[in-house]
Amino acid sequence: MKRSFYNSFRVQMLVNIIGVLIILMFSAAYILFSTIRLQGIVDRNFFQQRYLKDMQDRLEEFQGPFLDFLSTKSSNALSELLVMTQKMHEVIPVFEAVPKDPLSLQEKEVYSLMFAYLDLANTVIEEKRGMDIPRYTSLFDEMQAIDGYINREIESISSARFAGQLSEYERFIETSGQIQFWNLMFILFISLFSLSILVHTVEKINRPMVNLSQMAAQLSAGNFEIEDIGMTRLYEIDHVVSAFNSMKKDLHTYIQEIRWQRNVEQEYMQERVRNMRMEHMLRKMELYTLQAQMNPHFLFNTLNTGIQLAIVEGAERTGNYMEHLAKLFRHNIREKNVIVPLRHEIEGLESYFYILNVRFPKNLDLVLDYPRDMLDDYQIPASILQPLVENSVIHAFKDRQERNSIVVRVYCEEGRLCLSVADNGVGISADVIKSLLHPVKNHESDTKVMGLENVIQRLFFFFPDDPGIIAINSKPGAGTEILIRIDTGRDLCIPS
Amino acid sequence: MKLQIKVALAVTGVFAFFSFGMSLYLVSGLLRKPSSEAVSGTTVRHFTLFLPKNRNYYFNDIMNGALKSAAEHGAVLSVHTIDSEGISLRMAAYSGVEGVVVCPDIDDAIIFESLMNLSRKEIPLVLVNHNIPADQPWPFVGTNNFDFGKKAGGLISSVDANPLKLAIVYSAKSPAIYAERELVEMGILGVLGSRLSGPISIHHTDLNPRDAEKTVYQLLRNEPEVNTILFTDLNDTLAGTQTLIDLNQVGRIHVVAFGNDPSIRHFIEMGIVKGSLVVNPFLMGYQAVKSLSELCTTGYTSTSVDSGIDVLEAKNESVRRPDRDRFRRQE
Repeated sequence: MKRSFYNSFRVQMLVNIIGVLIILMFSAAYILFSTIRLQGIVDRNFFQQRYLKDMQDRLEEFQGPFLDFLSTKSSNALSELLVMTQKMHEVIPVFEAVPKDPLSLQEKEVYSLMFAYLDLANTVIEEKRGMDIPRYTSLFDEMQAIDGYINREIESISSARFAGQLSEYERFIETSGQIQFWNLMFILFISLFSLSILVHTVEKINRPMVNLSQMAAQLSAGNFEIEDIGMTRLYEIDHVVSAFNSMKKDLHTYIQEIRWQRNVEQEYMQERVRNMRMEHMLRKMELYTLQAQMNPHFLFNTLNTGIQLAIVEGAERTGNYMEHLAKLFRHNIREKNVIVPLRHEIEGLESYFYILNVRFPKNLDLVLDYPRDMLDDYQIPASILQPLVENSVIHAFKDRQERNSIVVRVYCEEGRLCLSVADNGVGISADVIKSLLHPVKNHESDTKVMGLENVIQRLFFFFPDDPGIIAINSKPGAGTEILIRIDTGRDLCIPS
Repeated sequence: MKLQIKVALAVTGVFAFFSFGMSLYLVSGLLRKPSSEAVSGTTVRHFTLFLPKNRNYYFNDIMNGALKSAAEHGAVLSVHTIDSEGISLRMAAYSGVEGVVVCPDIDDAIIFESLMNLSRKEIPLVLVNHNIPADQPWPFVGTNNFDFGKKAGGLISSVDANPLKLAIVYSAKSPAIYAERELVEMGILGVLGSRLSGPISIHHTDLNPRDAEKTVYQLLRNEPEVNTILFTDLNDTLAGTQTLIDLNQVGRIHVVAFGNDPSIRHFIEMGIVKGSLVVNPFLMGYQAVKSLSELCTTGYTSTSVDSGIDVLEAKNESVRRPDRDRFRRQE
């Protein structure tokens, strides 16, 4: 926000307070003004009366030295008379324009009479000094008549004005009452207006603080998704708001980074555990293999002796059988690699099939269907097909009188190498399938994991990110197909 | 909250402004009150009108006519009463007025010296209502009372009474006619001549508007031979005619009325009153100020302005009535 003079918190506070003070001062000044004006109106209404009365009093005062001079011809009285005459000439108003109001017109005539009275007084003084007694006494009588008439006219004007002012006074009282009422309303509403301005100012300043407080509460509750606090027009407060918004963003970023690191570590730990378990399993397999290798040497020698004996005795079929058995043992024992070519697995399975055919010549049909050109193109985990066939031989045909069959098929589909082992045996229940595909992990168990379960676990180890690596399609009484689908475009997580 | 504060700001602001405006309007209304406003313009003159002490409709009409004329001729007019000593008129010479209209009362002698004093001070003067015998060329605005007598004689001559015995009731309420009663009677005699069976019986009423009631009653008792009465005042006409009706003398006593009034018009329509003589005091006042204004402006004006006498009869009453409203006294 642009920093300007008016956007300052202090300036706005100062401006609002001074503004309210000015409004209140103005209203008080207006009330004072209206009161003074009302007093002025009252004063003005009586001003003409008072002025006329003052003139009348001056004329009355004039009589004293005037009579004194006429009686004594005192020079003091004369000088006093001259001064008074001069002063009266100065204060008696001269109407430059003729008033229209009858009373003012009458007042004008009274002032003209006063001037005439003073002029006559001067003439009388001169006649007195000139000793023209009849003349001055005659003029004195005229002066007395004028004086009497002036007093009468002033009384008449006063009475008329008073009568006129009575109704005017009633109107004035009524109007001044209305003025006081509206002044009261003005004070009331202007005070409320000032109060509203102050509340507005406080609200304007308080709102960002309230927002800050609410956001702090939200942040302390761990909610970093709240929106930023809006900016105000006060740059001091905006600085705080901006800093707070920035702090909120930084905190959010830090916490996200910490969470990400924790996830990474967790994944890393899971990977390590998985690797360790795999290593453990491989070692167990190696151990089994080693254990198995101890007796097979004796078995090999014995089998070779048996083969030679069968050849010597002319038992060719027995010789072949023992030869395949020896091949099978050799295949299982000598192979130490975890990942083997598909050919190797197929060759081992062919020997195993020969043996099974010899063992179950009447009630077991074995089919091995694979394209020969694929045998060297793919690699698979070692010993995954023979345990499956063995599992079918052991479990699938229990209590069955029908002819049994096991079909092993190898083919490619949708970029995957498919290895299918299907039998027409008793099938596997859904619960068993579920327990096989989602075994309860009990790593501490020493239970020997063999057969189908072993194959499944190994496949999950080799392909942890591919839940569809193995599927069991079976229904009770409808046979079982175990289908291994290896993504040929994906590398194995454990090198061969 | 924000909205409420804004609403409060707007409402209190509007009401405060309205209250302030009302107060200011009322204060300025009081301050605007005109007092002794002067008449602007360079040709404004200050005239004064002196009227007799007894103010009735007649003199009020003169005053209203004079005020109207003053307003139309760029003058303002102060109105004074001629007191019994004539001091107020005497003071006119000192009051700074530029012209004086005098409506003399009965006693001419009291005011004559004051009028002479005004003339000596060269203050223009116009007499209204009735003239004062003097060698001064004071302009006069009023009725020609000889003409009044002739028109009264004309109305009386149509009265079907033989021998004709006439009584005239003068009134202090109509001083102009009373002051020149000789001219009135000469006018009547000039028309009626030998038809009158004897000298005209003269009676007076004072300022009391019901005084004619007593006068007519006494006249009927003391002079039963009188069969025609001429009134010279509106109130006297109304009171006297009503007395005749009350005394069941309608038909035997013929009445010639004075003034224009709905009741008089009604009497004329009913045949109770033969006719009425109408003078126009409003026009007198109007013409007097007009003449004074001319005198001040040009230095001369007509020496005598006849304000005219109208005759109200049954045959022309309906025609004259609307025209008369213009000069009717304001009731």
